[in-house]
Amino acid sequence: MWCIHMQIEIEKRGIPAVSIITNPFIRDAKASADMFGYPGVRRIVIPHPVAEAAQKDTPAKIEAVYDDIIKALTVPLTEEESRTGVQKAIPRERIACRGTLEQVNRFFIEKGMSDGLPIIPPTEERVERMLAGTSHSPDEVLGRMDPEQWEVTVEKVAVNAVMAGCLPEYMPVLLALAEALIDPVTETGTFVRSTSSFAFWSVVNGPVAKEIGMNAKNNALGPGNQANATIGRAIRLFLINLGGTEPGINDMSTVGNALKYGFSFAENEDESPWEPYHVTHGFKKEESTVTVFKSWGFRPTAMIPGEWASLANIAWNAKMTRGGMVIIMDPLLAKQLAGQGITKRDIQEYLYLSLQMSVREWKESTQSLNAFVGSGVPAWYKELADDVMLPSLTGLDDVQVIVAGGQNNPYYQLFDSVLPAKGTIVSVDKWR
Amino acid sequence: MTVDEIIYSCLEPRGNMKDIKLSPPSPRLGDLKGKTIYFVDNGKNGAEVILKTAMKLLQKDFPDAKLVYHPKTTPYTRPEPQNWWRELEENADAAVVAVGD
Repeated sequence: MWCIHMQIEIEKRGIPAVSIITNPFIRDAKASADMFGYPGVRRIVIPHPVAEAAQKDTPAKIEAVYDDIIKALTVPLTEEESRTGVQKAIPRERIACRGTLEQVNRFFIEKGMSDGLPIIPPTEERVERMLAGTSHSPDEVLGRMDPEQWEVTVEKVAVNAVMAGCLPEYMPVLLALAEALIDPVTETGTFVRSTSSFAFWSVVNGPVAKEIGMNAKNNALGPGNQANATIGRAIRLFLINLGGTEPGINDMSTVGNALKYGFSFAENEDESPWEPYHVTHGFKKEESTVTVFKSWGFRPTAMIPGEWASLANIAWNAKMTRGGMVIIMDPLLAKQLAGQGITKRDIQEYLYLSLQMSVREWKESTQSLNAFVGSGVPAWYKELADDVMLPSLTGLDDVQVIVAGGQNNPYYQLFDSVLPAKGTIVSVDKWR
Repeated sequence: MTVDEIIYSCLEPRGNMKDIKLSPPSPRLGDLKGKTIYFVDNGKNGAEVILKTAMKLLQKDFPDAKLVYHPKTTPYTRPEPQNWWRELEENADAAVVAVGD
């Protein structure tokens, strides 16, 4: 997508351009070109893969398309490529399908309108009951959601909420979730499309978590609680049905990610020794928020004997994390750390100072040093000798801490988090 | 009627599509002779070899063309700085972008 996006930005300046893409991305490139309104931009396809060891075959692949590169820049555009005007949207029918429970479920799966699990049929009556969970009008437009920039209304959120198995009282959280996914800061389109298989997940803070019965204690991130489970599932259904996500078309996840089924939980504010997550980020304690994060996943946390409740242990486990991280910490561990006078800020500072990598490692990491410079690393990093050690984090905010769990074990899980690591925090209260 | 025979009318869950204004790509060049061509590396693994191979081949056939390799200075999702766009607008006759993977 971003190759086509760059090409279009160049074309817009009156400069003819061509993109070189690999064959699994033909449909992705077409979808992007169509969505941006430049369906005629020229693409040259070479066989996949082209990364790492496969680069030895690249010269032959380029030699094979060399004439096509020249033609792409010199042969006049065809009538079809030069097409202008307006591509009218295909209007949606109000009723998607009619049938028995089995027929409805088969229809939704075959049309790519579900996550593969059975859905609750979103009938008019059920959607109406769901809409009673908010004071907002069904026709109110929240915005357009990536990757396909489809328009999202309050009613469309309610339809997907019914499908996910949500209850009406979850609606303010669900609407805030949809708002967060629409917010450009979330870069939903980028991380849905990525081959790296990012998962979206959320944390709920404030009074609403208890009002709707969310679990912040035992197994908070696991199954068993309706609000946690169905709000988590709704994230994926929103991406599918409100944003137009389709595996192999605009979701190019290569391995996939079990977390993409979605999960949501509440922070255990009652047992946390520290201020709640949303308070750290500028909200009042009595306000309710939902925060959306994007992660590849989490890493198991190993124990250093005798040093379990220590910053050294967290740093030891965090040392391979690239980008940002969210530490989801059981209250038992949080209390033990707080008992030593350690604050959330101390955790951030300790990790920032102790996690280091050499300039060589920066250069050899999966993205180039250049790319990280754009993420906040000072440009002068590039001028340093290869063996100079640097912080591997770009700043204190690359580390975030959330407290959840049942106090069975002083444990934590360390999720990577796309920068800005704090995620996208949205008020729930305005959607009540 | 059994539970399995109940017929459900399901509302459409998908968001509304938008009208899309179509624009044509830029007119092509008649020839690459003497032209300045930018080769834009979007930072994806493999792009550099793709572009430098193409540059090597083109330089042989178009010795008077000026070929400029530009690795993006920002992550592939972020725009390049305005001064680079100005440079491109002032100098580039054409561009090759890689890689869409």
